[in-house]
Amino acid sequence: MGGLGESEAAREARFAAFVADYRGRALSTAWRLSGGDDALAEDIAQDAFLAAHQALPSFRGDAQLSTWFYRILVRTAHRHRRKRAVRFKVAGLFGLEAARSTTPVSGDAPLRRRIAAALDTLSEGQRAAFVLVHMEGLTVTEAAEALGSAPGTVKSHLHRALVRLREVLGDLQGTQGTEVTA
Amino acid sequence: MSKHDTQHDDTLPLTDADQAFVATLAAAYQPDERHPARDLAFDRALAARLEGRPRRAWARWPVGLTLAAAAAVLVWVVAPRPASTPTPDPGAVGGALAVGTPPTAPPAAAQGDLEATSDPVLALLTPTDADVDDDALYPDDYLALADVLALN
Repeated sequence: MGGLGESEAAREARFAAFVADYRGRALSTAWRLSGGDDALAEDIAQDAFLAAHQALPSFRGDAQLSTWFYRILVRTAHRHRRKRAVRFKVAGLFGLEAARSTTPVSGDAPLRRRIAAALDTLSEGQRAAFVLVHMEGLTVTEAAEALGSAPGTVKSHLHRALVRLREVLGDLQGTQGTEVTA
Repeated sequence: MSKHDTQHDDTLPLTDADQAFVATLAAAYQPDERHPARDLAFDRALAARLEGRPRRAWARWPVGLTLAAAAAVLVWVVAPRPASTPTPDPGAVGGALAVGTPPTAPPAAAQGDLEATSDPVLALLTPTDADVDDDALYPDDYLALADVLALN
């Protein structure tokens, strides 16, 4: 994905191709990290692409482009989640209900909300590790690079996340297929 | 470095039940399929934000416009003030604040005098009622709170 010395036109063209390649994954990951909020997922993905555009000249290819971008995306999602939490807290203080995405869903909306609520009980690290590895299909090593953690830490996060989710969502075990994502 | 860190092993010790559970969550928890129009709107919004980003702003700011702006400011600074421009009375301002009148709004008499001036530069630089931002009618703490609550 480019490097130092590349002309600006070539860099912009490569960035456009990069957005086209990663848009779907970015939105999917952002949606899962944001608790299933469509509008917030779009904001996260947009901000992550903007940050990637700014950081692109410093990308030297030491890491895979995908893990480099996932790292930006996860940090952006974390920042947006914190801002949203503050908004909800302030709104709660004044007895108001902060705006949530009202995009209609075609899937099992109650089940999605249950899973989102369960993921919300995890720590940031556990949630990000679980989403990246078990839902987005990254390997432990790739997730570790994206999260800036050691692989052992990611495995620990995954183990604790799984234990917690099975406590909360134990009734869902094996109800939909058996395809393994990791 | 821990023992785990040295293993470089991507495999996870998941039982069949764990794998089925994880697969169930992954299958159920995914966004709706996106319509191409939404992707197009996303790309357009991203492009607009990239265009609006201040990259090398000095190169995009015409030198002539900069000189014209500087000249306008200079003219405004050295131009004689109209004799009829009233000096704000601190007591009057305090009274206005006490009844909730925004401090940015000029007194009605002064506004009339300024509009009547024949100085075109001064007229351009003087805000009229139509130029006053609606937000200026609210105190700063209300705006900050509204921003946090995303009411704006």
